[in-house]
Amino acid sequence: MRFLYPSLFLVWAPLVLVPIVLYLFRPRPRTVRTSTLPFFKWLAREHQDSAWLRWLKHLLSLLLSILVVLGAAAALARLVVAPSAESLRTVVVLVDRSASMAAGPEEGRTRLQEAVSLVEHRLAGLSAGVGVIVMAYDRRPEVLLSRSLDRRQVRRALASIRVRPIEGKPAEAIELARRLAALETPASIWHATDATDEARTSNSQSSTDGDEGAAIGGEESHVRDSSAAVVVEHLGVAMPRPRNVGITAFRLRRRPMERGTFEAFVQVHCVADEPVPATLDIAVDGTLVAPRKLTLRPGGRERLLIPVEAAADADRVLSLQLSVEGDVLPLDDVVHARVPRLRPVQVLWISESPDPFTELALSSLGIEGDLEVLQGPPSAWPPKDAVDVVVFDHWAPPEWPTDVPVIGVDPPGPLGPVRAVRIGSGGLPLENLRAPSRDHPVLYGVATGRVAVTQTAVVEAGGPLESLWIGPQGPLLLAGEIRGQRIVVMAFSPQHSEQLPLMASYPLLIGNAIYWAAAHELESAQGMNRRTGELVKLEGKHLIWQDSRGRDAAEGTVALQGGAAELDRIGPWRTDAGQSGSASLLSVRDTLIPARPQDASAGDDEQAESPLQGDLAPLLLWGVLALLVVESWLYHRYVAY
Amino acid sequence: MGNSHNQTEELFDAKFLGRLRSLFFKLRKRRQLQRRGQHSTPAAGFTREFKDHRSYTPGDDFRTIDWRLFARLEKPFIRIFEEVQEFHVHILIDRSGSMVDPYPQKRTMALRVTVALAYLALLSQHRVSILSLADELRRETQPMKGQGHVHFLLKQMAELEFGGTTDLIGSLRQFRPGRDRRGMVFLISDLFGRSPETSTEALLQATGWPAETHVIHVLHPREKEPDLQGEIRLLDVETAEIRRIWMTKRELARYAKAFQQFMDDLHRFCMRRQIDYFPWTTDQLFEDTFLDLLSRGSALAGTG
Repeated sequence: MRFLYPSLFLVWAPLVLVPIVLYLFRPRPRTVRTSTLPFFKWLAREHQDSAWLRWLKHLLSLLLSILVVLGAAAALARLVVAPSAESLRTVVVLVDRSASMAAGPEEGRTRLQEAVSLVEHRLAGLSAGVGVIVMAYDRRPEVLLSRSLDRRQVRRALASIRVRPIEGKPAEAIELARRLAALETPASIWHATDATDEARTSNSQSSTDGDEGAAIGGEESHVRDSSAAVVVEHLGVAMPRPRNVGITAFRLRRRPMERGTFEAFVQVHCVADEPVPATLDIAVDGTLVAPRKLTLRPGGRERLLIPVEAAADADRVLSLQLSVEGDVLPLDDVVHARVPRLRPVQVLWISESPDPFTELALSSLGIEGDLEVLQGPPSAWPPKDAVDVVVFDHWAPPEWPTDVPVIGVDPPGPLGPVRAVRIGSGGLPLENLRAPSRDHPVLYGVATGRVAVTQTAVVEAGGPLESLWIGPQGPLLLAGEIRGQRIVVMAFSPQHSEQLPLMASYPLLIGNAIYWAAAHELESAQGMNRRTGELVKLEGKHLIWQDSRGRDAAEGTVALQGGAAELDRIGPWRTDAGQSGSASLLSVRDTLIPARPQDASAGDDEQAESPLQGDLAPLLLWGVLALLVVESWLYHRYVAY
Repeated sequence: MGNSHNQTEELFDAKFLGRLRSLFFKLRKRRQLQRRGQHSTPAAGFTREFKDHRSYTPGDDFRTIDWRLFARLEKPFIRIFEEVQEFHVHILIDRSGSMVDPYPQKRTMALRVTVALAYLALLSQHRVSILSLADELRRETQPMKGQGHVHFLLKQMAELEFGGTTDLIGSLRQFRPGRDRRGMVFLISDLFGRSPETSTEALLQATGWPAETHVIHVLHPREKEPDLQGEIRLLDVETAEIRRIWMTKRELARYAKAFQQFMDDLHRFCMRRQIDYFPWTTDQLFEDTFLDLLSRGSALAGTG
């Protein structure tokens, strides 16, 4: 316990002599002789006391006055209780500003406000010579204030912290905080977050290196870095019994073989003590389409598939809104996604002698209008206009394209980065192919067990390519992504295969391969449904955020710098260059809001007593006010005494 | 003796006595105008004095015919008598400390009223007894009759000492007016007992007196509306009890209201029991107030 400004106390404390002098030399009331005392006594009937009681009251009044003066002087001199800050030189304040910190309000305050308040309370007890660094993090850490001795700047920096609807990743932030703290030791990192010890441990490997010390304040724990003399103190602000339901996963994909229809995969998580009824409102372009009633188990998750019709003329905005009574975090209750307009996938098929079965398969796929197949000889390569997927049928270009997905059928030799050797004498007939990855999208609906093919090339497996069909001579169907380019290799000849060409599996295989390979291009061209916090490359000068009806939001225009932007809001967006997309939280970590551990109850008790730590000025001022009220009540509620 | 003479001069100077005489003549003139004549009610203790004769007219009481005159003049005349009533006037004066301290004007006023009433009664040939009350009842004079006692009366009143506590209930309980004559009782007091409630309890004794009772409530204006502000240490003049009080305008208003309530209660109490209640503050003009007192139906005003 000490004064931040002891000189102020020395200046103001002597004022205590004033009530003492006033008490000693208090004016005696004039004596008036009266013949009507009973009437005066009737006025003062409620306060007829004896001389010793009156003396006691005078003494009590003097005591209260002294306490008022001393309390006010101590408040002006900033009396603080700071048990552990004496030996520090640097304190790094690391505040979690991820989405879950908006949970609440509990007692009218969000977790972030609680964290800032807790930090400010501890800061008040910090010696004036301790430098303070203020950091905040969500997916990425940010240094808001470099090392400063000016507490007003620190408070301003703390006050500037706002919750961002972005998933929190404390590991990198703690690591950065460690590095900053290590610049001037001994140092302490005050990590204010709602994450539990378990979550922090899983997120912060570096925190487990040291020895754990005793807790100070509320739910706090110390982790000491012995090499750098940096102590990490976790200031927990978790809610005791959070109740939250949120959407933690969302994916929009085309329904196979159903033109113009998408399928939204939605995953909902629940944190509660009892089953929670919820309503999921599904809206397209702001118009409610279908509400769904859900009953979520505590700690459980629910997965849904929602069909969505696309439009031919424009993108549509799909909005999902969860409604749950008592939900503490609204940020994870809403998801916006752009449903791309109907546009055929453009496929360029290069072949010296077109395989009739492949032609049949591609033409059957193009009947629905989902595919637009352009067929040409090798001389047509490279194409004048950009296409979504290129199919090299028994041919490979001398210069391998790297900016377009490629499907290589019956490769004549190496296919760019994929090494392949041709098998002579018409190939090798194979039956009973092995499919180690049956769930791969390329094999969706394909009856692998009934297929018999003639392998025409041996392809080197390994690396980023995944073997989907494996024969005795090695893999003959591979798919993977090499330096951002999706490649599917079919090392067999459909024309010479016995069972494959006339089966439905072949068009399915070709179609799956085309859609899988073109997924990135389709998404980037027709809408990017991303998570908040992601950095996306954008064209144009401005990023414009929109509402669920696709209208530009007020104050929603952000200037693009460096051709990229961080998606820091929830909702659909567009650029003035024609790009569009959406951003949603979709974070299991932030939706599963941790509850304050049961064993932290003792810490809670300490936290309840924490007003006696840190800056006692507000407490003292309230105490002075209470003393004044008590004195008024004791001595001035009646006219007589 | 010299001191007593000075006090007598101070209280009842020649001017005051002159005012009393003129007051008496005023009353007699008023009485002549309001004379009731021969139809006064005969009663024990009455004296009937012959006044005149008048011719008999049919219907007159034939018992009043003067037969001796009829024998001489052979004409019937009836005798006219004047009825003279004699009262025993009891004057009870409060001599407690509150009657002199802190406002000695109350003492002066009470003594002057006492003397005036006694003077009027003596001049009207009534018997006069003066008693004083404080913590007990005390007889100050034996029953007096005739103008010759005026100077004795003045001397006694000048020597009357004020002080001590008030025991209204006990004092009035001790007072027992005789039933041999019609009586009149004048109680001159500020009626301040140990509490405002004791005043009405004390006056309850007056309902048993066989006499016409008048209560003259002597007050000082500052007792009704004190001029006190701020923190004050109040000292009771009778009991020496001390109380501290912080007086504000609001409290002054409450005090005035409470005091007025006290007077209203007394007035209501007296009116119900056919007791004349007459508040008299020391700032009122003596003659006018005294005439008002007598004009309130007092038998004293109708005799002499």
